[in-house]
Amino acid sequence: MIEAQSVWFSYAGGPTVIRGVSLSVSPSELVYIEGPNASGKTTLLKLLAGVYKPLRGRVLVDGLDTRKTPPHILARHVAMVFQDPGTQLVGRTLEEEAVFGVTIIGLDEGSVRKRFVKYLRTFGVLHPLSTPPRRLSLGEQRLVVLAACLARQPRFILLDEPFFGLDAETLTSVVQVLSSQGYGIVIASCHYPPFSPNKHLHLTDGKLQ
Amino acid sequence: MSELAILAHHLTVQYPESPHPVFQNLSLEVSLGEFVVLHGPTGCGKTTLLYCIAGIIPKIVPARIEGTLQVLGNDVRSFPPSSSPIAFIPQRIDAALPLTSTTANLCLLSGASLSEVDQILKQLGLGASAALEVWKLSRGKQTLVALAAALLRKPRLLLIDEAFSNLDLQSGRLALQLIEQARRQNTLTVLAVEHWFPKQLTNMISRTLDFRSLVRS
Repeated sequence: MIEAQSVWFSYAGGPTVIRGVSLSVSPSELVYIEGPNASGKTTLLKLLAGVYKPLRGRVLVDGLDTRKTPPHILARHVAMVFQDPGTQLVGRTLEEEAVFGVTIIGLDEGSVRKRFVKYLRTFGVLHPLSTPPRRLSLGEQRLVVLAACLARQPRFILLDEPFFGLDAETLTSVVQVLSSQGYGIVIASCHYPPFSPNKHLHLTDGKLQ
Repeated sequence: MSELAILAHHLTVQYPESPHPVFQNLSLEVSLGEFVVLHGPTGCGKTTLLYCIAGIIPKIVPARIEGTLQVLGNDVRSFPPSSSPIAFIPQRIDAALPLTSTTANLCLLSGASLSEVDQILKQLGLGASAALEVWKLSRGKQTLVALAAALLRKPRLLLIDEAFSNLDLQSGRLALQLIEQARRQNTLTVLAVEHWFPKQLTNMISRTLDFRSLVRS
């Protein structure tokens, strides 16, 4: 389970962005956070992923406090696809993208590669593994990053503004695949969801409604 | 028949490293002053088409182009890029915006006066963001800044690659109002590629097109 407990956050020298947010995400649950531009959605997702640490309150991922747990441990529990997936691409080819850094988090490269290819083909990305990921469209890059995240078998996956680059039909089928496999999913977007989430929350000015 | 801003006929595009064309036999006509929203599945070639119309392909990004592609009456392969009347808002807007304040960005990118910049920022609800560095703004606000920079250049053709996926309904409406104003003043033609365009705002555009309907196999 992911639990945010009265979380507050601001960037250095800036105004408060997240104001006392509490929420929980169970395995197999689909949580949708809708909010207008600049309401704090990206910041909240990064707090849930452990990328940012709360200034007050805490975030627990499967019982692990994100302020005290190193990233390579958290990576086995939660993964996030950023709003611009291009900022996460590191490999020169899809194959390199699949296995980059996996031994650091204690996974076997061969198994990760197999799972990556399976997810990639399930999502309809059929390019050869020698393809440079930066040559793909933004939507395909999003699916590549998602497949790389899933190949590492986290329990929770966080998607930031996934409509950017993906049509609603593709996104809906991706969500169906993830839900059927028991992933806890959190999606943040400024749009109304084209599917029915388990929880539909609204974030305005850093507060959950 | 009205004058055309974009005419593509039997257009085929293939990147040098790819064994297959991105698309084949694509035909598209957009009249001067129209606002067309183009949608289609992920990876079908929408961004590549915008790159061709903007002249980025083949001048900057090499690719093989076959067929006819005329933009504002000129063959794109001979379009003079230094005086291009085309503004292009790419998907990755942060790559196109320098690390300066919002106001400085708009002045640098468009050559507009400070008063023009102030006015357009207020129209887009970005008055409070004028002094902030652009990278500190949310993605949605960065998109509005990129739109402001494009419109301040007073282009005749505006190409948009997925701006509305990043905008909430209120920001989307503000963006469309500004585009509408530019269309009235400058006979601006707009071609926008979008995966997500709010249904509530479709009365503010001329028509939508499915990319797949443009391609004949």
